[in-house]
Amino acid sequence: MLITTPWLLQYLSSSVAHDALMEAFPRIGLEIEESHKLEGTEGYVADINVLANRPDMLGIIGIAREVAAHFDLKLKYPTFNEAVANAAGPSPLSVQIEAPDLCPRYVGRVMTGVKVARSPKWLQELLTSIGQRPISNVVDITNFVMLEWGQPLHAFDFANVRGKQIIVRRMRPDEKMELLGGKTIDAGKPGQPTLVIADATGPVALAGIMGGKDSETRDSSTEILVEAANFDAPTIRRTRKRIDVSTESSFRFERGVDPNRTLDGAMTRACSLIAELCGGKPVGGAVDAYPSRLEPKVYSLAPSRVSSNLGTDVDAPTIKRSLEKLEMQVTDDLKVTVPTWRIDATDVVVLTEDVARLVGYDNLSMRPTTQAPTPGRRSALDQLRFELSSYLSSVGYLESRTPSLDLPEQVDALQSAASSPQVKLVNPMSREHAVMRTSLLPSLVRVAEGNVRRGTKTVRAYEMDRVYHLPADKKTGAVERWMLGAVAGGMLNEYDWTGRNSAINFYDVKGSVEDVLDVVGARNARFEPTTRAGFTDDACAAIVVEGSTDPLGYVGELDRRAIPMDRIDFKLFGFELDLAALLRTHAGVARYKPLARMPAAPRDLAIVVKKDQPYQPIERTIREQAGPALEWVRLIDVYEGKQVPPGYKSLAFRMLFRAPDRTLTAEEVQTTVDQLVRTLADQFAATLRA
Amino acid sequence: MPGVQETTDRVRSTAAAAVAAIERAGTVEELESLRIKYLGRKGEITLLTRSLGEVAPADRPAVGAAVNDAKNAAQAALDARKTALDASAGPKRSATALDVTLPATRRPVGTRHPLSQVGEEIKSIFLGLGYAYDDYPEVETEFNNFDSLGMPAWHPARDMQDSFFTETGHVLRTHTTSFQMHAMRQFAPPPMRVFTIGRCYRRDEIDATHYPMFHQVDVIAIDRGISFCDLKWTLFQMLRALLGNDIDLRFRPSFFPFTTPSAEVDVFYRGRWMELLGSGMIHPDVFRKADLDPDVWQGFAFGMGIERIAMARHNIDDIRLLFENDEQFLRQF
Repeated sequence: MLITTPWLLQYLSSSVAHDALMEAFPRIGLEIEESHKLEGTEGYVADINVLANRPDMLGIIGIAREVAAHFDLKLKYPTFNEAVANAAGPSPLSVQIEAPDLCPRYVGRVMTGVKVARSPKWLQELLTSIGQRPISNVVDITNFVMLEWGQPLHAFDFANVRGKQIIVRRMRPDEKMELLGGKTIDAGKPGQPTLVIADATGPVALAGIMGGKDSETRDSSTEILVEAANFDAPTIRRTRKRIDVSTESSFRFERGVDPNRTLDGAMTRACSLIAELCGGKPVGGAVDAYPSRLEPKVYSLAPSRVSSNLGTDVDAPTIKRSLEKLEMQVTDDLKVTVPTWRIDATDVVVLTEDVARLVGYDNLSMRPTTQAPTPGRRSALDQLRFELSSYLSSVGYLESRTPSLDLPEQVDALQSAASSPQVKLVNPMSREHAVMRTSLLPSLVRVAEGNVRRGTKTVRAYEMDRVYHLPADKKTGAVERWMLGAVAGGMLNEYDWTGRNSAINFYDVKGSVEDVLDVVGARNARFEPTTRAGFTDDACAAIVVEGSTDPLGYVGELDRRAIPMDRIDFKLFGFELDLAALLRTHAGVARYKPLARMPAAPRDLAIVVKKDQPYQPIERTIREQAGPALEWVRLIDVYEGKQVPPGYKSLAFRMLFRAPDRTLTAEEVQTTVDQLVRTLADQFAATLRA
Repeated sequence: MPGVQETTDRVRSTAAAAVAAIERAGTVEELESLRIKYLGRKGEITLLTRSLGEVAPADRPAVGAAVNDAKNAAQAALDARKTALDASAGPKRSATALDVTLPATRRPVGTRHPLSQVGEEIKSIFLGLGYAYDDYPEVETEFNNFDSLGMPAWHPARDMQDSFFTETGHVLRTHTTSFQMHAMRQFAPPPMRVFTIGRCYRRDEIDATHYPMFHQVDVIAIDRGISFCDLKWTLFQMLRALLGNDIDLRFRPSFFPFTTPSAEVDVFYRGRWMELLGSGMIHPDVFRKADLDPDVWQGFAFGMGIERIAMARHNIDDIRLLFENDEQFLRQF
């Protein structure tokens, strides 16, 4: 709300220096968006951001009340014209509220003998200085009084009010209405009422928002109907959103206007000015339709509660004094009657805030009170994320933060028959961000592409975040699964002079996955050949742990057809792991096993198998069949070439045998190995390499 | 026959001459020739031993001792000079010596994202203060994101946050404050201290300070007497840990539908006041919505943008950099 400081000071019992005033605004919750010198004066124009819960400050009297309270001054209300204030008797106007649920109060008053002309200079200057365009004295007065009291007003040409009657009612489905400015509106959807001000023939104004085309006063008007009314905030808000119109009037009504200042405030003030500035005379008294009066709320305040809330001792006299500055009536035992303009006072705690504001937030102490302690701890998932990011960020992966919304085609490209439905936005800002992502990999590929475009030769990037699917039961908006996604490709090292550099391959990235499993302490994970959208059929493994049929993730070469990566001229690999599944494999607290102290017997074994024989079953068979004395088995060579037949490959293993309690004899070990060779021959048609 | 005195004097003067010469030697070669000159088979000191035969038998022990002293003194001088000359001569390297100045063969180190770094710091502060950390849904009900927090459908406060909606009528949380309903039930009954960090979404046009997706931290503390001064103290601890000890705070009255009293907090940091976060005492209606009795429980809540802190700390002037993931950018933190 725009104000000028000289205008504001008119309402205070004594003046306040400019700097003090500017410092006071933030302390009473009024943020100054902008301020500049008021041309030709000592004053300033300030654009004040009034808090959404304090529509009472959408009139300068409301602001002055808080400023006066802050400086311990008195608020000076404007004076009324006595002829107007005292005028009584029948009015030519009749008012009928057919929708009392949407219009708690309607006050109308007819003024006659009005000479519509330009406003006096002071009023024109004031309105101009706060960005309003002066129109005519009557319109200017209604605007000015709204800005003074926060109560919107409307001035009708009474000659155009047919039947001299005002009916406040719901707009009828068959009705249409042309507004000032030419827009035509209808009644909207049934069940969402549109409130109108009608005369004997039809709507003349859209209640609380804007007058109808023919409603306004014109230069020839001499009889004016001034309206000051009160309307239901949600209705005004809904209607003005529906017709996409916002006015100073609707802005105030949708935040809430005090029905008890309608007559003995705004209306009398406006008619006083019409009498003084336009030569108007009251025709009888005001017509006041106010079916059920809004009574002020009375709260009982306990100093102990206020003190406990603020953590600072505040005594009853301080509370009383503070609240009285805001025109509340306060008894000695702190029964507080709150004026109805305080729309925000829906709970007694609002009074605590008022006291805090007047005591000053800076004067409340900054110290911990003694309370029962609580344990500080991360969730298990967060602990896992912490450990994984510590690991990945120390072995070359760049942690990335990417948008969680994606292009529909990209999400579709990774969709399989088994996938759950996607979570789609109804109001995305762009197609690129229209669907909640179901995989972290496309965003990470974009990170890789961006960095390759900027010249990097090595890509390692990861992100830990959620992916989203619709739940089967629709009870929540989404199943949100935390994933670890990573991509890697290019050279192992960006630059390397040793000649040992090479391209990152599938096994390097699979190694990162195994490292991750080690960091977690996951046991018995298997890599099973599989196919999956997003990965090439040539290099894709599902990571499966014992006791679960669902893979906890996938690793492989990323498929350019599913995830575009035109700028990347090397193979890009990636993996994606479900963190909750990973967490379930967590080994927990380690238990000590006695160290192996007896001498160990190493044995090497080279076998020849068909080229397409997967490795993992062979290793599993060795582990299962070599007996308890096998401490470990490792693959030390894979060979295809002259020394093995075409279509075959040779696998060389090193095994270590050890018994916990004695030295194994050479014969014992040999027997085990011989038995193993026979089993491998049976199961895999393996032969010993010559 | 020469007297004892005469002989020992001769021995001593020879030794003195030898030591003096050795100490003046400038090279290892010179030192070697001095060794031969004095201690060699026909060296001057060696030959003195033979002169023992020329002294009276009774005097031989005294002369012998003098000769031994002379030998020892010369040898000690030789050793010392050798050490000194060796030390000044520099290292000896073989043909396979390495050029240790060549670049290392490193396994590259990765980085954590600056937003995560700030998040981790915030976590360490609040874990230390006895707060529990957990994650909460991003795809939320309107109830948890708005209604339970004092923003019914018609409320103007909803205008402040233009939100994304999903096809099932859920909202992408516009603030992490939506965690309150979950956390208050999860940790009931109080005392509870809980915080969360996560993504939020608002339909803001992208520019240097706005991005439709951003991160917030939200914190609640609830007990019988938790007060506004606990809130002030806690914020002060957090911001000092994040921004340094020489900050200053300013609390301004403000409005959030889910707190009363509410305060906007400004921080004086690197020479200017900066609007930083919203805070306040949890509104009784929020407690009621979470089935906590507001006549018993009191607590504070605040929420803060992670991007804002990261940008202030690191002098980042464009929020888009945080989501571009340029390696050059990420490696700076």
